Amino acid sequence: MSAGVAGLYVHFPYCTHRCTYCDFPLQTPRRVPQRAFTDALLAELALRAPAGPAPTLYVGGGTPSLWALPELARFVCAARDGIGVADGAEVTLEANPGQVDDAWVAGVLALGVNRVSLGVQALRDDHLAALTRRHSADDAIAAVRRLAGAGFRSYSVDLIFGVPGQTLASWREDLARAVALGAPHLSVYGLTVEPGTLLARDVARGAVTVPDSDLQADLFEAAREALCSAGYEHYEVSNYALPGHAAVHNHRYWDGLPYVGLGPGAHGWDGRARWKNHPRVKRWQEALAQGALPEVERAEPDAATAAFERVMTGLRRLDTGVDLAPDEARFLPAARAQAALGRIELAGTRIRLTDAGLLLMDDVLLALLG
Amino acid sequence: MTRKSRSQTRIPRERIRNFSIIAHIDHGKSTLADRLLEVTETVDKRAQKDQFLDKMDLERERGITIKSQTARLVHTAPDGLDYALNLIDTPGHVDFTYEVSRSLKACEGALLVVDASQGVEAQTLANVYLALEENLELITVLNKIDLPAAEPDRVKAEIESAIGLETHDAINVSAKEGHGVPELLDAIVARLPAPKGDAEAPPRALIFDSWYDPYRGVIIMMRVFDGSLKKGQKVRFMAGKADYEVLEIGVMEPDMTPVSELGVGEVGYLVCGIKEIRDARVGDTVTDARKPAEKPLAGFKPAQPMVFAGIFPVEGHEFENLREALDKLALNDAAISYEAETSGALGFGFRVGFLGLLHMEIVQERLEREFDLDLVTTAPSVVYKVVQTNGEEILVENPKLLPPTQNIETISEPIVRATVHTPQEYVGAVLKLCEERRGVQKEIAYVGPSRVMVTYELPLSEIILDFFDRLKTATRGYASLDYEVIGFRSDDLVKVDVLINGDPVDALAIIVHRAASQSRGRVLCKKMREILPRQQFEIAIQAAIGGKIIARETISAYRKNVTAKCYGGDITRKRKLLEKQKAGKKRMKQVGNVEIPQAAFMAILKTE
Repeated sequence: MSAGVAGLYVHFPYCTHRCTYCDFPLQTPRRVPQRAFTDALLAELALRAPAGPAPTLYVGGGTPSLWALPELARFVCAARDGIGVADGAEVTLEANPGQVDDAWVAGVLALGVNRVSLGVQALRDDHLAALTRRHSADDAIAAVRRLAGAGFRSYSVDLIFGVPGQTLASWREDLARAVALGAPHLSVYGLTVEPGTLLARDVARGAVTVPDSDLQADLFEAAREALCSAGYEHYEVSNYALPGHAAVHNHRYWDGLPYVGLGPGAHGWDGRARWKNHPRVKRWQEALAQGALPEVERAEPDAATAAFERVMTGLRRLDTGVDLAPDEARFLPAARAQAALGRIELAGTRIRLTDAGLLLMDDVLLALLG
Repeated sequence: MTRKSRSQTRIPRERIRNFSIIAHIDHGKSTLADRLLEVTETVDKRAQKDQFLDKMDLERERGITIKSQTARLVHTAPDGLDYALNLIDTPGHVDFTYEVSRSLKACEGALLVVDASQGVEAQTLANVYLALEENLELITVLNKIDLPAAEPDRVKAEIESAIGLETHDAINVSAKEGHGVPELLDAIVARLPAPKGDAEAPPRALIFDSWYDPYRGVIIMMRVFDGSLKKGQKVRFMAGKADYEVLEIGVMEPDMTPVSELGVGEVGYLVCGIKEIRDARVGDTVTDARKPAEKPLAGFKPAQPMVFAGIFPVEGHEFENLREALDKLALNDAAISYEAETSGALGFGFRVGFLGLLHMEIVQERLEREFDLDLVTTAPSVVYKVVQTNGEEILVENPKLLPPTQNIETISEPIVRATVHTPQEYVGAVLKLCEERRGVQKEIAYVGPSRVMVTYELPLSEIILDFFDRLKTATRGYASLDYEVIGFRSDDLVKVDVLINGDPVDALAIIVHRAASQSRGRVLCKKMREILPRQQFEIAIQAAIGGKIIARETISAYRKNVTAKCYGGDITRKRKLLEKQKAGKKRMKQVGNVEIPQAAFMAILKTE
């Protein structure tokens, strides 16, 4: 893989509805403007023309399983013909259980998608309702089974803990059911009450109560315990995989490798600059229609900032940790102090979060930030 | 006649009227003053910002007057002659009683402005008594007469029974609408006496206000009682014991307008190139340096700070900036005092003395706003007089400096005479509150068919301690409060220390009555538990008297501080969140390894 090669990310900004906890850039039109969106995306691809072949392709959202297959095909073909997609590249598509039927599975397989990330989120109907998801637990389980038998190289199931009304006992039951489903990869996120969301408003009004920080810690530890004893490796703060199934694309974020984000609100990093696209679909489209880069932010972090970002993202990797070199002079004193507190292991210039440090990662980072 | 020629006209003493406006805080004093200026064409209506006389932004925002401002209005009376009406504005808050009394001393009369829908309040009454002490002629003005809720007859009856003033010649006004203002101006001319004085005697002028102007030095507002003052004259400040030359003398119209001389009864300003406001204090007498008056005008009294608080920069290296800021503020505020203080918990800062709580808030706000400082202010405490076993008497301005119990013979604290005006249905609640706060009842009197005036002697420390909040709650906001320090009284007082993880935090120490110490200690620990953010380790909060622990609370360590979410490649956002967290920590004071937010220092003042 040459240094300039970038993983490709596409943000599909449409959903059937907005979940109350979501603060992602997206729209919920009655009818998705499939063609117009794909056209704009192709324009952005042509404009950015990243160096290929792309080692990974990841379509996230939003709800990419709402992308009409012929339009998705148009994009995938354009990427292959334009910059190229490397042989054996991981090609991931996010999907909601409601859309995963046999036709969809066959269609995406035919396009070369070899990994699906399924937004299951919860395995109980009351929790799904609390999250304002529109599928049922049975829908989710059926979708997982369909993916398991379809012949993808890998697939992943997303779960959320810290759901309003969740208890430690109910979460343990969900984890047992998730393990039984046998997904080779699990992303386990803590529900975050983001400012400006409907959830934040409901919490502020007292209409909804979310688990407190201590219960969140218990839930996090319960997941780690249940999944690791079932053979999963906890290889990143929020991700678990059976051997050989760690996500390739997401590693680019943690390892500081270049990626090009396409679509509204997508982010990119070319090794020198970070940028962010207009989060609003309309503004993103308008910029592209004028042949301009649809960006709202672009900055080249200075050396010190870049060094901290590298450590910040690298520390998320629980398998390898991150090497402080070549910036060890700056970070080692704080790292030694954190190691003395038992939060990280320090081997030479390499640091890695310990079990005790895992839940206090932000404190470790604040200490390293100095 | 244009404004310019008016100011040039010398109006004889018989046609001068000097007056103040006495009113409760929101009864419309400033609006009425604006209207007087407008009707006499002292300011152009278009040029007029609302409430012209309140110059400082802070005052305008809070709707109160801190520094008094003055204006000379020229009014043509029904006799066809021009009269000079000197409006002497008075500060409207309890902390500034002395300044009010000086302003009133400069007058022959006052307008008593009462809101026709609300009636007499404690503060109005306090100032009316000051005015009556000075033998001022009072004109009763019922304001806000345009409001549907106005009840002029009820309010008049209240004024008669509460103050004993005749109200048959009261003037109905709507300052907002301008109704009744010309009639009021005529009444000022007709009913207030002209000033008296000896034009041939050595000059004596009373300073009733002064402020610092960065370009011209101290500007003095004064009223000439005897003789006259001129430009170029050598003058002496009798209490300040310093001589200066008059660089400029003039009148406020309301902008500063120079004149050559001010004689008996006239009111105006002096510029003498004075660098520090301490050299031209309110209440001092200005006389001629070569031919001085034998005796100053009566009543000079230097401001006595009664309330003290520690002010510390959040960032230690800002200490010098804080010193500079205080030096600059003191140029314009003779009432504050400050000296450097070192706190084990808060580092280097200042112990600052104030006239009262409002004064403290104003200073704190000005420091933060005008000098852009991030400050931690400790809870205010009063000054204590301690007689030690060795017979030595000391003043303790900071609870942490209280000598050990075995060295204390007696401790005394400032006592105020507090007057509460309340609707009668809340009298029970007011008495209960005053009794809880160690009050000694002095008087209960009806001031109207349904309003009661309750007078208590109370420790000032109890007033500082959320008394006003509790009073407002107990009376649904209907009561008003005024108080005045009358002396010191000894009591059984003890120091309560707050320990965080075993270490006493000096800035959290309080002095309280022994009988209340247990419950105060408990409340204090509970408050700290609510306010201190959870940290990475357990925090023990204890209250102690001497070495004895009287209350304890624990804050368990937090277990989780991690974002279990990746933001899809949005690395910048995550980094910025961390940087923000870091900046937030910096704004808190670190005591040992515990971060203490500003709110914790003020929590000492909450009793429940």
